[in-house]
Amino acid sequence: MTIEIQSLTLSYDENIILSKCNLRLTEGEILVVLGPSGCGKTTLLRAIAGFVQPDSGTIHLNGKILNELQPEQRNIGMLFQRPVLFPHKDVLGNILFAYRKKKERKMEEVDEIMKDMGIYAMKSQTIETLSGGEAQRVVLARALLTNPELLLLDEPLSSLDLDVRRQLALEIRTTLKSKGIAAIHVTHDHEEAAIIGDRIIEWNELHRLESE
Amino acid sequence: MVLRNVRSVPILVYLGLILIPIWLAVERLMDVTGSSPFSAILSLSDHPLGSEALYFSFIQAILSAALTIAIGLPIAWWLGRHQWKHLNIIRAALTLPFVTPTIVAAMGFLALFKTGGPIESIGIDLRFESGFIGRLSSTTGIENSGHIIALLLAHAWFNLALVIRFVEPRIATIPPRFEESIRLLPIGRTRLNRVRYFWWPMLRTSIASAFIFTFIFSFTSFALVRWLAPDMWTLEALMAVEGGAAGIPNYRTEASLLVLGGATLQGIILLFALGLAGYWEQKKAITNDIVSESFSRKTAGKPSRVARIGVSLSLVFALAPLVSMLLSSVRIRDRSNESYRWSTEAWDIALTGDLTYVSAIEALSNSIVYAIACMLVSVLLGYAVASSIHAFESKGKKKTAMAIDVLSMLPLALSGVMVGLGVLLGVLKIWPELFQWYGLPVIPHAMLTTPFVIRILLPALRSLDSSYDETAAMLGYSNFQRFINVRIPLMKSSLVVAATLSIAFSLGEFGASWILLRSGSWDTLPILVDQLMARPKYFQLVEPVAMATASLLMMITFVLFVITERFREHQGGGF
Amino acid sequence: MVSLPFSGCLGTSNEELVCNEGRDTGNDCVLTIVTYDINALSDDVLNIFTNQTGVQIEMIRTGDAGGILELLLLTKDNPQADLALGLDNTYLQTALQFDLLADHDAVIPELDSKATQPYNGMKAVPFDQGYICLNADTQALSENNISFPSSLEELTGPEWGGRTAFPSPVTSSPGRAFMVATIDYFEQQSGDTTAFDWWADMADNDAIFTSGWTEAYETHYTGGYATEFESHLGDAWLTVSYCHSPGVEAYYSENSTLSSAVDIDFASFSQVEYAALVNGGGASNAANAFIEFLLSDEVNINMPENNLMYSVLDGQDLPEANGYRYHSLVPSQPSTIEMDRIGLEMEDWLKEWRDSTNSI
Repeated sequence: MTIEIQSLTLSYDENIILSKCNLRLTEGEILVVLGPSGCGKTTLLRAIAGFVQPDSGTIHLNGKILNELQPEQRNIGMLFQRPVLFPHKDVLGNILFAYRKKKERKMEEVDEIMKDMGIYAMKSQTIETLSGGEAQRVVLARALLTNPELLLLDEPLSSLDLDVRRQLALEIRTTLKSKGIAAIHVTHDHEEAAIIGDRIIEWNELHRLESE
Repeated sequence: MVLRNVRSVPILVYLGLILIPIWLAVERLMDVTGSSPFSAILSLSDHPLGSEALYFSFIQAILSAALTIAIGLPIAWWLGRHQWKHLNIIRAALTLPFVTPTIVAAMGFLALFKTGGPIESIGIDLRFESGFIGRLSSTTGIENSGHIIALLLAHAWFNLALVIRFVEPRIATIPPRFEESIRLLPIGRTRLNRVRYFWWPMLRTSIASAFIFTFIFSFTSFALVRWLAPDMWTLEALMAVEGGAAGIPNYRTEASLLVLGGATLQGIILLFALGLAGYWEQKKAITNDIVSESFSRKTAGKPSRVARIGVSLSLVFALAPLVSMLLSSVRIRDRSNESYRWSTEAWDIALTGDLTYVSAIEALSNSIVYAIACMLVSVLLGYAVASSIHAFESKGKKKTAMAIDVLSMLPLALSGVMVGLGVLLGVLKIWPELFQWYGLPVIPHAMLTTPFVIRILLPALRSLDSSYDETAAMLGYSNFQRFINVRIPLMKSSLVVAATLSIAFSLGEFGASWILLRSGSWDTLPILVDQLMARPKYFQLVEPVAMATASLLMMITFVLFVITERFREHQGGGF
Repeated sequence: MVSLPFSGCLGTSNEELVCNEGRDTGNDCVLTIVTYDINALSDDVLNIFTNQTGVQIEMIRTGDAGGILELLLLTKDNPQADLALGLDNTYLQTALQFDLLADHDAVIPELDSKATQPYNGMKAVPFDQGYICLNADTQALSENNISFPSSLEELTGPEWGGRTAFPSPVTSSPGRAFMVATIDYFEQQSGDTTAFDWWADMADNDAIFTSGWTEAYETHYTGGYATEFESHLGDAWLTVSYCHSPGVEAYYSENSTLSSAVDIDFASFSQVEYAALVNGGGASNAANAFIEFLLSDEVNINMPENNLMYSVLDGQDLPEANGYRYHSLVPSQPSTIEMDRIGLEMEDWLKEWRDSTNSI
């Protein structure tokens, strides 16, 4: 199972953001894309997710071509820079958002993942009461419950302080590895990159790498 | 591409419903007068009261709007900030004025201002302008200053609901951490600075919307002006008294000229005001996280003493004229010995319908049915139009969005007389059977309430962080599923506000000029009140019966509000 | 729609009543009446008609008599009503000029000659009448040492400054009727003063002009029922109303009233209100039946109590109860201006009135 991106190009207002990007990921691999703020890492992720359309190039996920698919059809999970939790639901409610229909809910699975992430005790709390790190854990738990084929992480740890960042980076890696989920993580932090990734690519390299 | 076309349908339907009647009316009036709308404006000065009416419309509208904000803003503040017991009841009570038929409101106020009434007994004679008010008149040179003050107060009373409904939800959903952050910064040390640098930017667009809507309602005020300031005229009042003769070839052409010129001028002024609101909202809107109301309120805590007193006073202000109306319904004058007696006779007559074609009970059920139908139509249509505008904005087509925004406000900018003429002409030409249809009144009601809905939902849509939608998409939710599970719940507060305003307006509306006033089975409570008050009242029960009918309207409004407000918050940190 | 049980259509006294289709209403036996909320048409009265004939009534309500004319004019190509109820003899001529009315086919009983004097054709049938007069507050006048008016000219004097209230002829039908009377009054005088000179003088003398009768009578007039109303300003001792208004006051106040009608030759106007079939409307059988019903004893004799107007049947008068008749005035010499002339000159008169008074 692989994720493959070929010659992805995207400009916005005459600025070239992605220029013939090439990327390849094997099953269960965690790739870190390292680059300074504002270089276009987020745009890359949004293109993979389907929120922006590339000018040219293809995105393959496990043999499917994703280009024509809506984001909700791609079976990709994403963590944003700010944890996105719905204010009208509590912690458990947010996690259960992973299931679109009530009858699909598997409460044992939910409980298990909450315990794994260390958030089981908070399940009735309102989201305003969570710390940044706790919130990202909730978001991650929710994303994992959908069994995504690929997880995109857009600097989810950047607003957390150092200790929490290190801790959470490790937890993310452990969890992803245990479930065998491939991920692309973008960041500007070298230490975080080293903790999380199996492989690290500099932003500029993406644009030079030939497809193998 | 396909999606955009589908989105355009509600806009086109809505705009069509507005523009076609206007076009028909203008065409007919131009035909009859041989004049263009703009030359007709110039001939307004030929009418003995034309210039005076324009001037007064403008001045009193601005003053009314300012007064309404001055009174309403503190109330919205106190209500939005703190935890209140029975908040939905307080809100319902404060919205009642908006629903009151103007003629009844006028009576209520006159009861407060009359000789021997509560206001006059503290030395403020607004009705006969003796004492302090008389001195005010002579020093300022403004004749009828007492009447004008009374009018401004009545307008403020009426439109209080607008300020509260536009501003309070905004205050209630701003995350406390924003204010907390700014308090810790040097710039936020003083209260004045916090108002200037934080609260004002946060609230200014809602306040501006409330100001402009109050301006519009006051500008087009008719009945209140006639009752409270009988020597004064607004443009709408001038058009309303003569408007029935407009649009008829070879008959009283000057009436057609008046309506053409007056409505065009009024339309330009009001559209400009609305455009300003829309433009400012678009440019200056601040999107931010929203939090649930209960969280925000819990942080601010229980109301302070000042808040309690303030809100209590506002409840007195809101309810006093209504209480006086209720009292008038059970107090019958005995002219032969110049005394009063207490009796429920008027209620009996109202409920059994002895003085009117239908009874108050039948009218009540009509009122409710129309109000709910209107609410459903206007919220659905308003949401569709608002989300279309928002979609255009998001795609960078700001000018298109702006144009649609302003056009969709048109129903508020138009004179009732003009629209009535247009609808009459249009329906007669295109589909005369429509006049027999029971559901006909829903159309003008919905046309007038949809702009409010748009005005309330558009900022809510703008402030919906796109990452909520995107996250749900990543979790596999389709567009429709996101609509149901994300957008609606996050906008619930605004949707309920829009719904209640829509119900309120429909209940209190008796837009007589919009449709042929078919008496009988279609009569609503305000229409009944209007019919009764238009009668000679030799028979001393006529007025009490009108008051009883109006009281019934108040009661049902109150109940409907309290029920609808229940949808706004549910237990457990609800939104 | 409230639907009354379809009891079938019964014949009237004169012929078999067949309910014909009104303009595509899809209902048989529906009569649409355009009117201005005449009290006579109470629920009970209408139900009697419906029970007798099986005809359901729908009403289109306008603000006043002028509104009826306006609606008929606006909907001329596609009439919405079958019967117009309440046009009076200041509007009728215009309605006839514009060909808005159709011949009726009702059987008319013997009517009072005053009722048929303005118009006696087939296109409109009188159903009630009254005289428009000035009304004055006798108590206020005596308290202020002002003699009861016997001419229009004296009302321009300083003692009457700001003390008179007139509904505008442009927007009010009693106002219109009174204006016609003033025209006749001054034409009957020797000298050059026209009615509009007088109106200009009245405006200079701070006469109050209102858009409707209600405002003049309730807000301004001190002699009427509204002295205790919240809206009452009570700054006028004289206004325009019916010559029998004081009678109505007395009727509802146990025979007591301060108001009195002013009997000045030519300064009053004999008003007749008409029922007329709408040209192009439908349900003509039902409309004719309704006219007959309106003129039947059971309805028309009760006009004074139910509609506060005189009956048009021959030999009828106001009831005596509670001083109704006693306090009502029958003017000695009402205006004599003919309906034709009213139809011809009204638009010009209204313009002149407005120019003279600079008012609504």
